[in-house]
Amino acid sequence: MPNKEYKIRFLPHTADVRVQIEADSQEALFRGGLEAMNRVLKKNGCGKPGVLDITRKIDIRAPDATILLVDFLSEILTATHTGKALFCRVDFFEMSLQYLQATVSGYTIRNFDDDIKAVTYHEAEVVRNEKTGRWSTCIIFDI
Amino acid sequence: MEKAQLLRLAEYLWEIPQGYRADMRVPARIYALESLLEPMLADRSLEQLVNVATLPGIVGAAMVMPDAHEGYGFPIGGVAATCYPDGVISPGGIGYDINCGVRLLVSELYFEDVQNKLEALSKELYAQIPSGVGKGGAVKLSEKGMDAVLSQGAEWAVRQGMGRPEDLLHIESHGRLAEADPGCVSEAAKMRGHDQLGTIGSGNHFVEVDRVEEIYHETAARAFGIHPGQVVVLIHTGSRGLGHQVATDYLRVMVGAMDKYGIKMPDRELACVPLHSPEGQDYFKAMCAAANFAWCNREVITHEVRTAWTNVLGKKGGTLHLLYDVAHNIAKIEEHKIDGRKMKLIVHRKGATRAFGAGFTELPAGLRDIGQPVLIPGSMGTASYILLGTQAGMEASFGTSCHGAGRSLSRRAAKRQVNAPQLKAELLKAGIYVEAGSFSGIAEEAPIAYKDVNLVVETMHRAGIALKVAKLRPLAVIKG
Repeated sequence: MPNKEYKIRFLPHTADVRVQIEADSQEALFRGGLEAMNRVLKKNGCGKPGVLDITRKIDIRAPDATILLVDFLSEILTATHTGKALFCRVDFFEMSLQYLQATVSGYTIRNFDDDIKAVTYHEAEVVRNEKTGRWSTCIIFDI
Repeated sequence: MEKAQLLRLAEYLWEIPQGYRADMRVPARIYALESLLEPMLADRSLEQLVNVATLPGIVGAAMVMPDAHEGYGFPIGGVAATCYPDGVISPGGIGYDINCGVRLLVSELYFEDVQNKLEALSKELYAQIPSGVGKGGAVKLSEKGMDAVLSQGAEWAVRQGMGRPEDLLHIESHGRLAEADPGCVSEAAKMRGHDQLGTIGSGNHFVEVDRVEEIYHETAARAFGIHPGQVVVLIHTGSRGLGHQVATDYLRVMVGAMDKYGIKMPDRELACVPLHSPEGQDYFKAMCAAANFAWCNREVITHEVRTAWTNVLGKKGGTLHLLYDVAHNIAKIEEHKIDGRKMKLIVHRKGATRAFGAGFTELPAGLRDIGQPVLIPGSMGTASYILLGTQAGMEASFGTSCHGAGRSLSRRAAKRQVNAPQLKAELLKAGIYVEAGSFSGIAEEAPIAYKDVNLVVETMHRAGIALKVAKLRPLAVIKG
């Protein structure tokens, strides 16, 4: 379903998954990253999810917004694998360029479509366009 | 990068001079016949290789093997050696799937003996070996059991009755890196791995039954116990979620620690610290533990393969002997000659295989005078190869060879271009049974998604790095 807050584009990569995300805000960019990751893990897995009865608190500090985003997604990916769950919803309580506090909610899932081994730092660069105010980054998922 | 910017050193070897970019500490070298070079110029493999050439403490040259393609940080097929112990170690030079690797089991049977039982064998292998994304296996490790696996590697499986003692001699590093420390592996990593022993996972991992189609090197084939028409089994998988988590955990640590050591890299995925630093030591010990987990995983899968083999073929099936097991995502402390002088080095291999020549004392008695078997899996419809490590390779590439055919087409592109049910039917018509968890998995791994493995192997052979011993043809493929 198209989302006005952010736009996700899957780009070519020889072996892994390269995604370009553009968003209205930093929060939206992070939501877009999560949706892109979930789309790889389970196509439409968050389309009509079940009851989101699993929650995880996320509390991350990082030197900059790019590392913050990659570490945020990595932490959710770890929770996804250890809990065999898909986290469809995120509520941010605090967010800056170097810190975020959030809760993610998800549901247990029987199987995934694709394995994501890791969220990589490669080519990731969170940028805010001064003219448009739009945020963007590329993310490569190792699959 | 343009081809004109490369120096051609031989028909199979190209160089990007150190002066190509100011921050390069060594030149970059590409092993590839000309037709294999084109796809590397088309993606970002060579830019990534140039980045590797900037690693602090790197010696000789940054290299890629002929199966190289773009990755993240290091290109896949990348090799780099740094000085020990003050050179850096980089998790990106090993990859997320720590000790992803291959082993080959040699049977006592020939194609004619199994021809009519291949369908049953492929179904039984699929039933015995758990496969697919995040799929757990029959072995559930307790906290104590996990630490034992991380310390003991393949030996743990043998102690549990899931392997033969003689297998251990036929595994790189005998299936155990002594520097492993389970205490350096996070709880999340252990949790991800606790039910994954004996599972192949998804992606390009597989178990494959092959027949020996052609012998190129009679002496080595005899030493390896390989004969034309013989049936063999290839196993390709790694450290599963445990290894992925170890790499994720320590990349994060190193991204944060680089400043402390005054290190700046052109790509965060190349984050690195000196090996002798506390962060470097912790990562190395965790990586060794994950490598041990992977060797144990392949040993448990071997047990499952042997069970399936006996279930279908009975006593007439004989024994499946382990020829060799090699890692292709790992960092090892090894001794190599640099400018004629022996040096201890930290050799990073990311999608590249150790290929040591004759005289290497770790090899078992029957192989020591010949050299190390090097196993090169192709794609499910083409060929795989057994090669032989050489002394020339020790000098040229830190004793390193290619690791497979190498992808040429993205997984998404393969899925768009391949009709998986049709491909499965075509493979069956060609006498290849495929058992897979999904059609998309078959499409992603279709032969058209890979380079020509014959050319990749030919490059290594002409370079003298690893010599062709035998060619294998697939008969049955089990995938996640």
